[in-house]
Amino acid sequence: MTPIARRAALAVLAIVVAAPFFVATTFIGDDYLFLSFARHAPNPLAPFVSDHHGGEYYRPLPMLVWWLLGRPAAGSVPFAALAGDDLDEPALDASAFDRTGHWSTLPTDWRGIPDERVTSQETLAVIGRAIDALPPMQAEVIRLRDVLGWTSEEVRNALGLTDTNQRVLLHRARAKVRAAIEEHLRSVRG
Amino acid sequence: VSQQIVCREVLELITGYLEGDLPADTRAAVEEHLSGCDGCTRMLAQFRRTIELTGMLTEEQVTASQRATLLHAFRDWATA
Repeated sequence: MTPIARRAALAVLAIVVAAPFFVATTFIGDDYLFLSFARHAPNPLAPFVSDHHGGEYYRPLPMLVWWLLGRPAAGSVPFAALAGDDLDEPALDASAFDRTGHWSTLPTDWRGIPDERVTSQETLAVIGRAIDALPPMQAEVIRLRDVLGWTSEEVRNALGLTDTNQRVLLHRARAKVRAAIEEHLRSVRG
Repeated sequence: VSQQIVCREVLELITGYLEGDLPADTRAAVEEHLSGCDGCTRMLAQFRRTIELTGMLTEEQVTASQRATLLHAFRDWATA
């Protein structure tokens, strides 16, 4: 039996067994899938979860559709899609350095900048947006390490990363957040 | 004779340096370079300030909506 035939057979079986339940949970009242999407838009798992009867249940039809369409391919999500395809790139572009690898323009000295100018809500918002714009794994690593204060070991274990992967993801993430702060400081200085 | 490194290389070693997990000879080379290089000392200070500022964010300021999904994806990717 081919994998596709087996999956189709399982799907048919699941539908036959669970059809009454689908009808009861999915098509009654206002609990349509699209309404659920609209209402719980920020939570990507919301369409799969029902809060009927005061508890949380995985809703069978959306789960089945998800499983048939996407779940079996989850293991083949390319590393680059989550980690970013820029891991080998330098933290600054080549123009920051001269041919000998020394600074062509000296970085600005942030040590002289008064705290109250740097630590504004505005700066923090800039950092938050910079993190949101990162590839997913870079965002997750910097969030766990630098926002929540996890150790590198905790992050490696939680995300199943090697020592090197964790460090490279963190370095890329910090380099981009640093660049966003620099850009912001330059713009507010006018 | 200790190993010589240039600014461009130091930049890529900053996170490893701050993590404290560079090999001893690389670490010594970074420290020697930093002691004589204003630009890299400033860049190191920028990274430190970046880490400090990022640490002032609350969890809510960084969108965590994708987190559960991501953790599953990581696990699948790691075991693929």
